[in-house]
Amino acid sequence: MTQESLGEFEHCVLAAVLHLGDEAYGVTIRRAIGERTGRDVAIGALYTSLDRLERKGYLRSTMSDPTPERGGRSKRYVSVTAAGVRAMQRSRARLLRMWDGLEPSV
Amino acid sequence: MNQPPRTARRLLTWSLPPREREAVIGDFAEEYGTRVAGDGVRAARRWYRQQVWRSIGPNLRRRRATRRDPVHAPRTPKTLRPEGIMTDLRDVIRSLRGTPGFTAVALVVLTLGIGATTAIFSVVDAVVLRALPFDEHDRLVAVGERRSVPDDEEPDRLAHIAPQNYMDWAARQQVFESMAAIADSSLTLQEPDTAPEDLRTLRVTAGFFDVVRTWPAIGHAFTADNEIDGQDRVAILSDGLWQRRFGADPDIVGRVLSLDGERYEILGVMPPGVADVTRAARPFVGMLRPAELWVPFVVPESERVRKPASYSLYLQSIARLKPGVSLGQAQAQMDQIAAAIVQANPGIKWLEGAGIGVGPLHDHLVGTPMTSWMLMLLGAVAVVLLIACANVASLLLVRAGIRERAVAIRAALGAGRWRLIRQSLIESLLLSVVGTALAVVVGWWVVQILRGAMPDDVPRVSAIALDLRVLAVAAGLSLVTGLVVGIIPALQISRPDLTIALKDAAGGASAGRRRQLARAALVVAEVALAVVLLVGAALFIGSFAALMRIDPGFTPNHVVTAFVAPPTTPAVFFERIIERLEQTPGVVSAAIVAGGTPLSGFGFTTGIAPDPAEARQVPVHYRTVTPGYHRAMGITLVKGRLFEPGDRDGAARVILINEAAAAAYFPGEDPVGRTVRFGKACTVVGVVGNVRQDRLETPAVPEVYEPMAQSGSPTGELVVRTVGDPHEALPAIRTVLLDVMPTVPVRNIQTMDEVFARHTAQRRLNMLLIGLFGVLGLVISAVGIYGVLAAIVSQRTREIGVRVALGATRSNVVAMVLAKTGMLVAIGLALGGVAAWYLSALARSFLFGLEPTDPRAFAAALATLLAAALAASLIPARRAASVDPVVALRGE
Repeated sequence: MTQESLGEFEHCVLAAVLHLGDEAYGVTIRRAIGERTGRDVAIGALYTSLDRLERKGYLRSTMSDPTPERGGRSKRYVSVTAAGVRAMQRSRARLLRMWDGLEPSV
Repeated sequence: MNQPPRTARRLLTWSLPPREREAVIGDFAEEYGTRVAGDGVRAARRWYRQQVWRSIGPNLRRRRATRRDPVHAPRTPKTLRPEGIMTDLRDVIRSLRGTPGFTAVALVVLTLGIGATTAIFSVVDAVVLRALPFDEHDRLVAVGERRSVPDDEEPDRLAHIAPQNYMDWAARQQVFESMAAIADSSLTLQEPDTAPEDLRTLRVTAGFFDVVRTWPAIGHAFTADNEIDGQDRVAILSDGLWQRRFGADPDIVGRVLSLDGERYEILGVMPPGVADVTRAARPFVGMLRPAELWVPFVVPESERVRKPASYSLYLQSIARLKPGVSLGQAQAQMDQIAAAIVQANPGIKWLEGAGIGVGPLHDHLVGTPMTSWMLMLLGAVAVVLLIACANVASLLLVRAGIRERAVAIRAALGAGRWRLIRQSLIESLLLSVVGTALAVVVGWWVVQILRGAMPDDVPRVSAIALDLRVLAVAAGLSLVTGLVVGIIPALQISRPDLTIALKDAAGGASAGRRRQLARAALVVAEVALAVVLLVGAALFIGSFAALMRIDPGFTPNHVVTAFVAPPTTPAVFFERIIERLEQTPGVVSAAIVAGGTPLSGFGFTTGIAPDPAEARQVPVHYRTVTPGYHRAMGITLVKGRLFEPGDRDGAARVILINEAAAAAYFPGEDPVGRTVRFGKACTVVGVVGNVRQDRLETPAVPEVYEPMAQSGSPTGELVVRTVGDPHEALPAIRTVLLDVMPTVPVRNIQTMDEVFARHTAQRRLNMLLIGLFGVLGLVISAVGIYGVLAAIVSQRTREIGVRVALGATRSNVVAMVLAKTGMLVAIGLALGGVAAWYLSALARSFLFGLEPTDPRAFAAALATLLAAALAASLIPARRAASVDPVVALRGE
């Protein structure tokens, strides 16, 4: 069975989560992606990806205690699972193999 | 202003799957807060709106996904997913939306079928089925005399009661906990400075209030103590009268009213909406207004003891059975009482052969003819619904054929039999539920029309409405319809021949065989049912035409009548009224008739001796009229002359006879100038045309007219012929009457056109309703025939192509297609004809002027259906004829 590969945006999300460590939730992930790629992602779209990644088993999430600056709402913290890390590695390896030998001409 | 924009926030909340709201709304709030601090409130709000706007799409997609799959299980291919009814429903909706033509036809057919049924049911329910609105209404009975008075319309109807008899019944009975006598009458309310008003009054014995268990809402009822002369001048008002004439005055009790010139003390006011418990004698049917006064009934002195020969039947009686007493026990006791009364009163001739009848009050008030009429209408509309069901079932079968491959694939993939049946039933139920929703809208509208179109003698018309009861029945109908319609296709689907369905791309010539048979059977059923309706329609149209062909003997248009009862010296008042009216602009002529206007069913009978030398007398109807009567009523003079002003008291006594009398008494002779004994010796001065005095359907009997000036009458009907619309002359007529008789109210004004319409209303309505049902049945079954043929032609395009290629002519092809329908239609016509032959006998009592097996009606019905079937076959036949063999064969 072939391993499912990650979409580019999914890849970005997983990477951002890894960068953020314990502080990865909606707002920070969006900010991280924005800072690094200049992309302004819709929050709804981000959550669609988080959902899909969680369903594939690449992310797991936990709810925090509510905080006042969020209008008394909880945060959904996410972290990358081992399967998620493996998927990122696979994805990266594939891309690199494809890029092999292209660098000088592109 | 620290809050994010409200609408956007709501939109966001709504769009999110509930599970995610916490985290996502929190994220929005947090970043909004940061942006307020950094960029200011306006920029933050703009950002917030923009974010919500961009997130809605993804949010909604997630929401839908979580709903379908709440446990967040990994997605599996669609066909293998465990599916619930909601999934089926969604699939069905999608597939119905994918075939808008089918869906529209099915919905229109179901809407018409269910809508018509719902509307008719609401009428039948209000008029016949619904219980009387009284406490423990099942113990209420009507008590009346059983007399062998021939009433061809309703032989088992209870007759009115002689007061002497009622007193004995009430004194001797032990089966009723309460019993009351009711005399239907009217009193004139005369208040200072207002026109006198005629109020329908029920004179009742004190038991009335206990029987109906309805007592005055204000004040109190009267008691048996009031049933004595001198104590009986008390009255209870209806809620309507209290509001209308007394402005709902809370201190009304104790006030004194002037009624018919007597002073009555007001004891109380009844609660609103007291249902009527009286039934009008037939001539007055349709003239009943709601009761506005209740006063005590006191048996007149002259009617307390039985006289040998004279009696008058005018009381009605209602009673409440004691708990545990059955109708049969009550009847048995009343039978004993009747026998005892006969035994105790030897020599009272009119008691012989008279018994006492007890029956449920509801049945008595509605009456047998009304009940059977209503049930006939319900039966007819049920046939429409059946046709609609057959049609939609057949449409669903076509779809089943189209979807067979899809179904077979599903079955092959392991979808259970139950699952497939369920989906098919969901489809038909969904159609019928939506159809019912539309039908309720259509039905509401139809009910408004029907309520206005009901003949005046239909009881409780005001109660006709699409209420909860009717809606519940509609819901039930929709469920049953959905199941009936869905069951055949469902059973077809549940045993698909997988190999054949999958193998044969063309739709399965042999797998379709069973389905085609089912469709053919449905078309035959539709045609047969439509024939039944069309025969019914033809019979009712024929009856109405026969009724319209009747010459009533008078000219109803431009004639208005009113009841006049002068306070004293009627002859003087009559003369003055006629004189004043004939000077009124717009009035052609005016006259007075005593003994009833045409079609009133009212009449006096006496004896006449056509040969004055003989003692032998024959019974004859007579009317007393002023000279202008025949001209005003438009009755033709056949021979001799009409009455003239010179035919007065002191002059030679004269009479007019009608043609029926001329034929009966002077066969083959000229009656004009002959002398007869009519009280005294009179000369026949003329012969006038026959007039239908009773009902349009009843032929005229021998009749005599005598001049008002030679005999006189205390009351009469004013007859006024006007130049134009008689309603326009009404104010002038009222003014004249009130001028001449200021204390007498103007009563019972009606135009002869209205009277005529009342007599034709039921047949007209029957014709229109059954005709409409017939048209509905015809159109729906034509659609059915078209559908079957079109399917056959499209399935056989290849075969037709081959035939044409092999040299078949267009007419050969058309004949082949037509032969297909011809067979189905022929079977349907035959079955329907036979069914109609037997069923039409049920309608016999509603027909007039033709037999239920009238061959013209059958011929017309069969021909109409045949024509519709041909028209429905035309398009498919032409399509078959135009099949291009090259195209048809290349299609493979």
